Amino acid sequence: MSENQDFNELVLKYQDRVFNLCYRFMGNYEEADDCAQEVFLKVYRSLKDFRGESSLSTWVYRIAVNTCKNRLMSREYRERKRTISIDAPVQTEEGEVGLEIKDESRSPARELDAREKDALIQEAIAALPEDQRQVVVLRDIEALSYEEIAGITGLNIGTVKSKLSRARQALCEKLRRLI
Amino acid sequence: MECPQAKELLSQYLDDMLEPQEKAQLEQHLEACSACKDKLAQLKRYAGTMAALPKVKAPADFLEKVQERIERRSEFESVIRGFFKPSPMKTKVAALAMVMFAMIAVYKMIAPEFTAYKLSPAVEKRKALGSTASEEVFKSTAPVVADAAPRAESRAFTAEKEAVSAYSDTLGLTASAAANAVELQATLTALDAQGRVLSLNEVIDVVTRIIGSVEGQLIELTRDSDNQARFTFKIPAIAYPAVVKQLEQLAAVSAAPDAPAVDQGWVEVILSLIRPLVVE
Repeated sequence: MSENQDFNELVLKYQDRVFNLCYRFMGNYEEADDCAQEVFLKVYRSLKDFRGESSLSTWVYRIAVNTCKNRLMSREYRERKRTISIDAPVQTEEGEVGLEIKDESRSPARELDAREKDALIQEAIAALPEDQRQVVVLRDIEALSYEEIAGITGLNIGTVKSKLSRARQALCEKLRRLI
Repeated sequence: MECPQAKELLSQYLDDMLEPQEKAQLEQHLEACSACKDKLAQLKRYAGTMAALPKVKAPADFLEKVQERIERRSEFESVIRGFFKPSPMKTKVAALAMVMFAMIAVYKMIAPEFTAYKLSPAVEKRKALGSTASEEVFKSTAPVVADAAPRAESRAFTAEKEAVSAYSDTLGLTASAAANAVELQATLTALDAQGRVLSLNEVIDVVTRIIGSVEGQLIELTRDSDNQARFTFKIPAIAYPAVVKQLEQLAAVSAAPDAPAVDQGWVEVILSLIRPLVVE
Protein backbone atom coordinates (compact mmCIF):
# COMPACT_ATOMS: atom_id res chain seq x y z
CA MET A 1 0.00 0.00 0.00
CA SER A 2 1.41 3.39 -0.89
CA GLU A 3 2.26 6.09 1.60
CA ASN A 4 -0.53 8.25 0.29
CA GLN A 5 -3.09 5.50 0.72
CA ASP A 6 -1.91 5.01 4.28
CA PHE A 7 -2.26 8.70 4.90
CA ASN A 8 -5.71 8.87 3.35
CA GLU A 9 -6.84 6.03 5.54
CA LEU A 10 -5.46 7.75 8.57
CA VAL A 11 -7.34 10.94 7.67
CA LEU A 12 -10.58 9.06 7.19
CA LYS A 13 -10.10 7.25 10.46
CA TYR A 14 -9.38 10.30 12.58
CA GLN A 15 -10.99 13.20 10.73
CA ASP A 16 -14.23 13.26 12.71
CA ARG A 17 -12.52 12.97 16.07
CA VAL A 18 -10.01 15.68 15.17
CA PHE A 19 -12.72 17.86 13.71
CA ASN A 20 -14.92 17.58 16.77
CA LEU A 21 -11.97 18.32 19.02
CA CYS A 22 -11.06 21.40 16.98
CA TYR A 23 -14.67 22.52 16.99
CA ARG A 24 -14.98 22.24 20.74
CA PHE A 25 -11.61 23.90 21.22
CA MET A 26 -12.09 26.76 18.81
CA GLY A 27 -15.83 27.17 19.21
CA ASN A 28 -16.35 27.90 15.56
CA TYR A 29 -17.06 25.58 12.67
CA GLU A 30 -15.12 27.48 10.05
CA GLU A 31 -12.12 27.83 12.32
CA ALA A 32 -12.38 24.15 13.21
CA ASP A 33 -12.35 23.22 9.53
CA ASP A 34 -9.20 25.18 8.81
CA CYS A 35 -7.58 24.01 12.01
CA ALA A 36 -8.38 20.33 11.40
CA GLN A 37 -6.92 20.58 7.90
CA GLU A 38 -3.79 22.07 9.36
CA VAL A 39 -3.59 19.21 11.85
CA PHE A 40 -3.53 16.68 9.02
CA LEU A 41 -0.99 18.70 7.07
CA LYS A 42 1.25 18.45 10.09
CA VAL A 43 0.49 14.76 10.41
CA TYR A 44 1.37 14.29 6.74
CA ARG A 45 4.66 16.06 7.14
CA SER A 46 5.70 14.25 10.27
CA LEU A 47 4.25 10.82 9.64
CA LYS A 48 7.64 9.49 8.64
CA ASP A 49 9.03 10.66 11.99
CA PHE A 50 6.34 8.89 13.99
CA ARG A 51 8.19 6.25 15.92
CA GLY A 52 5.38 4.63 17.76
CA GLU A 53 6.52 5.91 21.15
CA SER A 54 2.91 6.72 21.82
CA SER A 55 -0.16 5.30 20.15
CA LEU A 56 -1.06 6.77 16.80
CA SER A 57 -4.25 8.27 18.21
CA THR A 58 -2.38 9.92 21.09
CA TRP A 59 0.08 11.35 18.60
CA VAL A 60 -2.66 12.69 16.33
CA TYR A 61 -4.54 14.14 19.29
CA ARG A 62 -1.34 15.76 20.54
CA ILE A 63 -0.80 17.46 17.21
CA ALA A 64 -4.45 18.54 17.20
CA VAL A 65 -4.33 19.97 20.71
CA ASN A 66 -1.08 21.83 20.02
CA THR A 67 -2.44 23.21 16.77
CA CYS A 68 -5.56 24.48 18.52
CA LYS A 69 -3.52 25.96 21.35
CA ASN A 70 -1.22 27.75 18.93
CA ARG A 71 -4.19 29.22 17.16
CA LEU A 72 -5.79 30.35 20.33
CA MET A 73 -2.58 32.03 21.26
CA SER A 74 -2.57 34.20 18.22
CA ARG A 75 -3.48 37.75 18.88
CA GLU A 76 -5.74 37.72 15.88
CA TYR A 77 -7.88 35.04 17.41
CA ARG A 78 -7.96 36.70 20.79
CA GLU A 79 -8.94 39.99 19.25
CA ARG A 80 -11.64 38.44 17.17
CA LYS A 81 -12.98 36.59 20.14
CA ARG A 82 -13.15 39.77 22.13
CA THR A 83 -15.29 41.36 19.50
CA ILE A 84 -17.75 38.52 19.13
CA SER A 85 -21.16 39.82 19.92
CA ILE A 86 -23.66 37.60 21.60
CA ASP A 87 -26.09 38.74 18.94
CA ALA A 88 -23.78 37.65 16.15
CA PRO A 89 -24.68 34.42 14.42
CA VAL A 90 -22.45 31.44 15.10
CA GLN A 91 -21.27 29.22 12.27
CA THR A 92 -22.15 25.60 12.72
CA GLU A 93 -22.22 22.73 10.31
CA GLU A 94 -25.84 23.51 9.74
CA GLY A 95 -25.32 27.11 8.86
CA GLU A 96 -25.58 30.20 10.99
CA VAL A 97 -27.17 30.00 14.37
CA GLY A 98 -27.93 32.96 16.56
CA LEU A 99 -26.89 32.58 20.14
CA GLU A 100 -29.95 34.39 21.40
CA ILE A 101 -28.79 34.42 24.95
CA LYS A 102 -31.63 35.56 27.09
CA ASP A 103 -31.62 36.78 30.62
CA GLU A 104 -33.68 34.00 32.06
CA SER A 105 -34.45 35.88 35.20
CA ARG A 106 -36.61 38.23 33.18
CA SER A 107 -37.95 36.05 30.41
CA PRO A 108 -40.50 33.32 30.75
CA ALA A 109 -38.93 29.95 31.38
CA ARG A 110 -38.77 27.84 28.29
CA GLU A 111 -36.98 24.81 27.03
CA LEU A 112 -33.80 25.71 25.20
CA ASP A 113 -33.45 23.90 21.95
CA ALA A 114 -30.42 21.73 21.31
CA ARG A 115 -28.61 24.31 19.24
CA GLU A 116 -28.98 27.01 21.79
CA LYS A 117 -27.85 24.67 24.48
CA ASP A 118 -24.86 23.68 22.41
CA ALA A 119 -23.94 27.29 21.80
CA LEU A 120 -24.15 28.13 25.49
CA ILE A 121 -22.01 25.15 26.44
CA GLN A 122 -19.54 26.07 23.75
CA GLU A 123 -19.35 29.57 25.11
CA ALA A 124 -18.78 28.30 28.62
CA ILE A 125 -15.96 26.01 27.42
CA ALA A 126 -14.41 28.87 25.50
CA ALA A 127 -14.37 30.98 28.65
CA LEU A 128 -12.20 28.43 30.47
CA PRO A 129 -8.47 28.99 30.75
CA GLU A 130 -6.74 27.10 27.98
CA ASP A 131 -5.18 24.44 30.25
CA GLN A 132 -8.58 23.59 31.72
CA ARG A 133 -10.25 23.68 28.36
CA GLN A 134 -7.96 21.04 26.92
CA VAL A 135 -8.58 18.55 29.73
CA VAL A 136 -12.32 19.11 29.71
CA VAL A 137 -12.57 18.66 25.95
CA LEU A 138 -10.42 15.56 26.00
CA ARG A 139 -12.17 13.99 28.98
CA ASP A 140 -15.80 15.09 28.93
CA ILE A 141 -16.30 15.37 25.20
CA GLU A 142 -13.76 12.99 23.71
CA ALA A 143 -14.10 10.58 26.64
CA LEU A 144 -10.38 9.84 26.80
CA SER A 145 -8.81 8.28 29.88
CA TYR A 146 -6.73 10.28 32.33
CA GLU A 147 -3.65 8.40 31.10
CA GLU A 148 -4.36 9.26 27.50
CA ILE A 149 -4.91 12.90 28.41
CA ALA A 150 -1.62 12.96 30.29
CA GLY A 151 0.09 11.48 27.23
CA ILE A 152 -1.44 14.03 24.91
CA THR A 153 -0.95 17.13 27.01
CA GLY A 154 2.31 16.24 28.71
CA LEU A 155 0.71 16.92 32.10
CA ASN A 156 1.06 14.44 34.91
CA ILE A 157 -2.03 12.56 36.06
CA GLY A 158 -2.32 14.59 39.27
CA THR A 159 -2.39 17.83 37.30
CA VAL A 160 -4.95 16.39 34.90
CA LYS A 161 -7.15 15.53 37.89
CA SER A 162 -6.91 18.93 39.50
CA LYS A 163 -7.40 20.88 36.28
CA LEU A 164 -10.36 18.74 35.36
CA SER A 165 -11.91 19.21 38.78
CA ARG A 166 -11.55 22.99 38.54
CA ALA A 167 -12.84 23.09 34.99
CA ARG A 168 -15.88 21.01 35.89
CA GLN A 169 -16.67 23.16 38.90
CA ALA A 170 -16.47 26.27 36.73
CA LEU A 171 -18.68 24.74 34.04
CA CYS A 172 -21.25 23.47 36.53
CA GLU A 173 -21.43 26.97 37.93
CA LYS A 174 -21.75 28.64 34.54
CA LEU A 175 -24.25 26.13 33.22
CA ARG A 176 -26.25 25.60 36.39
CA ARG A 177 -29.47 26.80 34.77
CA LEU A 178 -28.92 24.55 31.84
CA ILE A 179 -28.11 21.26 33.55
CA MET B 1 -13.89 14.85 55.69
CA GLU B 2 -14.84 18.50 55.27
CA CYS B 3 -16.85 19.97 52.42
CA PRO B 4 -13.97 21.78 50.62
CA GLN B 5 -11.98 18.54 50.42
CA ALA B 6 -15.07 16.60 49.36
CA LYS B 7 -15.77 19.16 46.65
CA GLU B 8 -12.27 18.66 45.24
CA LEU B 9 -12.72 14.90 45.11
CA LEU B 10 -16.13 14.79 43.47
CA SER B 11 -14.69 15.05 39.98
CA GLN B 12 -12.44 12.03 40.51
CA TYR B 13 -15.26 10.18 42.25
CA LEU B 14 -17.37 10.66 39.16
CA ASP B 15 -14.65 9.03 37.08
CA ASP B 16 -13.99 6.34 39.65
CA MET B 17 -10.43 7.53 40.05
CA LEU B 18 -10.27 7.64 43.85
CA GLU B 19 -8.30 5.27 46.02
CA PRO B 20 -10.61 2.92 47.97
CA GLN B 21 -9.95 4.68 51.27
CA GLU B 22 -10.64 8.16 49.87
CA LYS B 23 -13.71 6.86 48.14
CA ALA B 24 -15.07 5.40 51.38
CA GLN B 25 -14.41 8.64 53.27
CA LEU B 26 -16.12 10.67 50.59
CA GLU B 27 -19.13 8.39 50.50
CA GLN B 28 -19.39 8.67 54.25
CA HIS B 29 -19.35 12.46 53.92
CA LEU B 30 -21.96 12.39 51.17
CA GLU B 31 -24.28 10.39 53.39
CA ALA B 32 -24.23 13.20 55.88
CA CYS B 33 -23.95 16.28 53.68
CA SER B 34 -26.80 17.18 51.41
CA ALA B 35 -24.95 20.16 49.89
CA CYS B 36 -22.14 17.93 48.61
CA LYS B 37 -24.67 15.35 47.52
CA ASP B 38 -26.37 18.03 45.46
CA LYS B 39 -23.02 19.01 43.98
CA LEU B 40 -22.42 15.42 42.96
CA ALA B 41 -25.86 15.21 41.37
CA GLN B 42 -25.16 18.42 39.47
CA LEU B 43 -21.80 17.06 38.34
CA LYS B 44 -23.48 13.90 37.08
CA ARG B 45 -26.01 15.96 35.13
CA TYR B 46 -23.15 18.02 33.73
CA ALA B 47 -21.30 14.87 32.62
CA GLY B 48 -24.45 13.56 30.99
CA THR B 49 -25.00 16.82 29.14
CA MET B 50 -21.43 16.94 27.87
CA ALA B 51 -21.45 13.31 26.78
CA ALA B 52 -24.67 13.90 24.90
CA LEU B 53 -23.34 16.85 22.92
CA PRO B 54 -23.58 16.16 19.23
CA LYS B 55 -20.32 15.11 17.60
CA VAL B 56 -19.47 17.59 14.92
CA LYS B 57 -18.30 15.70 11.87
CA ALA B 58 -15.79 16.73 9.28
CA PRO B 59 -17.38 17.83 6.02
CA ALA B 60 -17.72 15.20 3.31
CA ASP B 61 -14.95 16.75 1.21
CA PHE B 62 -12.53 17.06 4.10
CA LEU B 63 -9.98 14.58 2.75
CA GLU B 64 -10.04 16.29 -0.64
CA LYS B 65 -9.40 19.63 0.97
CA VAL B 66 -6.47 18.24 2.93
CA GLN B 67 -5.05 16.68 -0.24
CA GLU B 68 -5.46 19.97 -2.07
CA ARG B 69 -3.58 21.80 0.62
CA ILE B 70 -0.81 19.23 0.52
CA GLU B 71 -0.52 19.67 -3.23
CA ARG B 72 -0.57 23.44 -3.02
CA ARG B 73 2.08 23.28 -0.36
CA SER B 74 4.33 21.04 -2.43
CA GLU B 75 4.08 23.51 -5.24
CA PHE B 76 4.78 26.37 -2.90
CA GLU B 77 7.71 24.62 -1.31
CA SER B 78 9.26 23.85 -4.64
CA VAL B 79 9.12 27.56 -5.41
CA ILE B 80 10.66 28.34 -2.05
CA ARG B 81 13.37 25.78 -2.67
CA GLY B 82 14.01 27.51 -5.94
CA PHE B 83 14.68 30.68 -4.03
CA PHE B 84 17.41 28.99 -2.11
CA LYS B 85 19.45 28.19 -5.17
CA PRO B 86 21.89 30.96 -5.87
CA SER B 87 21.49 31.63 -9.54
CA PRO B 88 20.69 34.41 -11.96
CA MET B 89 17.13 33.12 -11.75
CA LYS B 90 16.94 34.72 -8.37
CA THR B 91 16.51 38.12 -9.91
CA LYS B 92 13.63 36.85 -11.99
CA VAL B 93 12.14 35.12 -9.02
CA ALA B 94 12.38 38.30 -7.05
CA ALA B 95 10.46 40.03 -9.75
CA LEU B 96 7.69 37.57 -9.23
CA ALA B 97 7.34 38.97 -5.80
CA MET B 98 5.90 35.77 -4.57
CA VAL B 99 6.92 36.44 -1.09
CA MET B 100 7.87 39.72 0.28
CA PHE B 101 9.60 39.20 3.52
CA ALA B 102 11.87 41.97 4.35
CA MET B 103 13.89 41.84 7.42
CA ILE B 104 14.57 45.23 8.50
CA ALA B 105 15.28 46.58 11.82
CA VAL B 106 16.12 44.82 14.84
CA TYR B 107 17.79 45.38 18.02
CA LYS B 108 15.38 45.38 20.84
CA MET B 109 17.07 44.02 23.80
CA ILE B 110 16.50 44.69 27.43
CA ALA B 111 16.17 48.38 26.80
CA PRO B 112 15.14 48.40 23.20
CA GLU B 113 15.77 51.67 21.51
CA PHE B 114 17.64 51.73 18.28
CA THR B 115 19.09 55.12 18.57
CA ALA B 116 22.73 54.45 18.09
CA TYR B 117 24.55 52.53 15.48
CA LYS B 118 27.86 52.53 17.15
CA LEU B 119 29.34 49.79 19.18
CA SER B 120 28.10 49.96 22.70
CA PRO B 121 30.41 49.38 25.61
CA ALA B 122 28.65 46.10 26.27
CA VAL B 123 29.48 44.84 22.84
CA GLU B 124 33.04 45.95 23.16
CA LYS B 125 33.18 44.02 26.38
CA ARG B 126 31.66 40.97 24.81
CA LYS B 127 34.14 41.12 21.99
CA ALA B 128 36.92 41.21 24.49
CA LEU B 129 35.51 38.23 26.36
CA GLY B 130 34.53 36.21 23.38
CA SER B 131 31.13 34.95 22.33
CA THR B 132 30.37 33.10 25.56
CA ALA B 133 29.96 36.43 27.24
CA SER B 134 26.88 37.14 25.18
CA GLU B 135 24.66 36.32 28.07
CA GLU B 136 26.19 39.11 29.96
CA VAL B 137 25.34 41.39 27.11
CA PHE B 138 21.74 40.29 27.29
CA LYS B 139 21.58 41.18 30.93
CA SER B 140 23.31 44.42 30.33
CA THR B 141 21.37 47.60 30.59
CA ALA B 142 23.30 49.05 27.72
CA PRO B 143 20.70 50.86 25.68
CA VAL B 144 21.56 49.50 22.30
CA VAL B 145 23.58 46.68 20.99
CA ALA B 146 24.07 47.31 17.37
CA ASP B 147 27.19 45.54 16.55
CA ALA B 148 29.20 45.97 13.42
CA ALA B 149 29.80 42.67 11.77
CA PRO B 150 33.07 42.48 9.92
CA ARG B 151 31.54 43.15 6.54
CA ALA B 152 29.36 46.02 7.62
CA GLU B 153 30.94 49.38 7.31
CA SER B 154 29.90 52.52 9.03
CA ARG B 155 28.36 54.04 5.96
CA ALA B 156 26.10 51.03 5.74
CA PHE B 157 24.67 51.81 9.12
CA THR B 158 23.70 55.28 8.08
CA ALA B 159 21.89 53.89 5.12
CA GLU B 160 20.40 51.17 7.28
CA LYS B 161 18.75 53.75 9.45
CA GLU B 162 17.01 55.15 6.41
CA ALA B 163 15.84 51.73 5.45
CA VAL B 164 14.32 51.24 8.85
CA SER B 165 12.32 54.38 8.63
CA ALA B 166 11.30 53.56 5.11
CA TYR B 167 9.98 50.13 5.92
CA SER B 168 9.18 49.83 9.53
CA ASP B 169 5.52 50.63 9.02
CA THR B 170 4.88 47.70 6.80
CA LEU B 171 7.69 45.24 7.03
CA GLY B 172 10.14 44.28 9.57
CA LEU B 173 11.87 41.82 11.72
CA THR B 174 12.78 42.83 15.18
CA ALA B 175 14.66 40.71 17.59
CA SER B 176 14.93 40.98 21.29
CA ALA B 177 17.01 38.67 23.34
CA ALA B 178 16.70 37.28 26.79
CA ALA B 179 19.42 35.24 28.43
CA ASN B 180 18.78 32.11 26.45
CA ALA B 181 16.06 32.92 23.99
CA VAL B 182 15.49 35.32 21.20
CA GLU B 183 12.19 36.87 20.46
CA LEU B 184 11.55 37.81 16.90
CA GLN B 185 8.87 39.82 15.30
CA ALA B 186 8.37 39.56 11.63
CA THR B 187 6.01 41.00 9.15
CA LEU B 188 5.52 39.22 5.93
CA THR B 189 3.39 39.70 2.96
CA ALA B 190 2.26 37.10 0.52
CA LEU B 191 1.48 38.25 -2.93
CA ASP B 192 -0.13 36.61 -5.84
CA ALA B 193 2.10 36.39 -8.82
CA GLN B 194 1.58 35.28 -12.36
CA GLY B 195 -1.72 33.67 -11.67
CA ARG B 196 -0.36 31.61 -8.81
CA VAL B 197 -2.42 32.11 -5.75
CA LEU B 198 -0.54 31.83 -2.54
CA SER B 199 -2.50 31.79 0.58
CA LEU B 200 -1.08 33.68 3.44
CA ASN B 201 -1.65 30.57 5.50
CA GLU B 202 0.91 28.77 3.41
CA VAL B 203 3.48 31.47 3.84
CA ILE B 204 2.73 31.54 7.52
CA ASP B 205 3.09 27.83 7.61
CA VAL B 206 6.58 27.95 6.15
CA VAL B 207 7.62 30.38 8.84
CA THR B 208 5.96 28.41 11.61
CA ARG B 209 7.71 25.30 10.34
CA ILE B 210 11.01 27.08 10.58
CA ILE B 211 10.15 28.12 14.12
CA GLY B 212 8.87 24.65 14.95
CA SER B 213 11.97 22.98 13.58
CA VAL B 214 14.02 24.52 16.37
CA GLU B 215 11.32 24.02 18.99
CA GLY B 216 10.55 27.68 18.97
CA GLN B 217 7.33 29.05 20.28
CA LEU B 218 4.83 31.14 18.45
CA ILE B 219 3.78 33.89 20.78
CA GLU B 220 1.55 35.96 18.61
CA LEU B 221 0.29 35.92 15.09
CA THR B 222 -1.73 38.73 13.73
CA ARG B 223 -3.21 38.84 10.29
CA ASP B 224 -3.31 42.49 9.32
CA SER B 225 -4.97 41.83 6.04
CA ASP B 226 -5.56 39.04 3.57
CA ASN B 227 -1.97 39.10 2.52
CA GLN B 228 -0.08 40.39 5.48
CA ALA B 229 0.70 38.95 8.86
CA ARG B 230 2.86 39.78 11.79
CA PHE B 231 4.57 37.23 13.97
CA THR B 232 6.12 37.24 17.32
CA PHE B 233 7.95 34.11 18.17
CA LYS B 234 10.55 32.95 20.56
CA ILE B 235 13.36 30.62 19.65
CA PRO B 236 16.26 29.21 21.59
CA ALA B 237 19.15 31.61 21.27
CA ILE B 238 21.39 28.84 20.12
CA ALA B 239 19.12 28.24 17.14
CA TYR B 240 19.04 31.86 16.17
CA PRO B 241 21.70 31.81 13.46
CA ALA B 242 20.05 28.85 11.79
CA VAL B 243 16.63 30.45 11.89
CA VAL B 244 17.88 33.73 10.56
CA LYS B 245 19.63 31.88 7.80
CA GLN B 246 16.39 30.25 6.78
CA LEU B 247 14.44 33.46 7.03
CA GLU B 248 17.19 35.14 5.13
CA GLN B 249 16.50 32.79 2.28
CA LEU B 250 12.99 34.08 2.21
CA ALA B 251 14.15 37.61 2.63
CA ALA B 252 16.48 37.22 -0.26
CA VAL B 253 13.54 37.26 -2.58
CA SER B 254 11.94 40.24 -1.04
CA ALA B 255 10.85 42.77 -3.53
CA ALA B 256 7.58 44.53 -3.43
CA PRO B 257 6.46 45.66 -6.86
CA ASP B 258 5.98 49.22 -5.77
CA ALA B 259 8.47 49.43 -2.96
CA PRO B 260 11.94 50.85 -3.15
CA ALA B 261 14.42 48.10 -3.75
CA VAL B 262 15.18 45.91 -0.82
CA ASP B 263 17.91 43.74 -2.09
CA GLN B 264 20.20 41.15 -0.68
CA GLY B 265 22.66 43.85 0.24
CA TRP B 266 20.20 45.42 2.58
CA VAL B 267 19.34 42.14 4.13
CA GLU B 268 22.97 41.47 4.83
CA VAL B 269 23.44 44.79 6.47
CA ILE B 270 20.37 44.26 8.55
CA LEU B 271 21.35 40.78 9.55
CA SER B 272 24.73 41.97 10.54
CA LEU B 273 22.92 44.03 13.10
CA ILE B 274 20.85 41.15 14.31
CA ARG B 275 23.50 38.53 14.54
CA PRO B 276 25.61 39.99 17.29
CA LEU B 277 22.66 39.97 19.62
CA VAL B 278 22.61 36.24 19.96
CA VAL B 279 24.66 33.45 21.36
CA GLU B 280 26.43 31.87 18.48
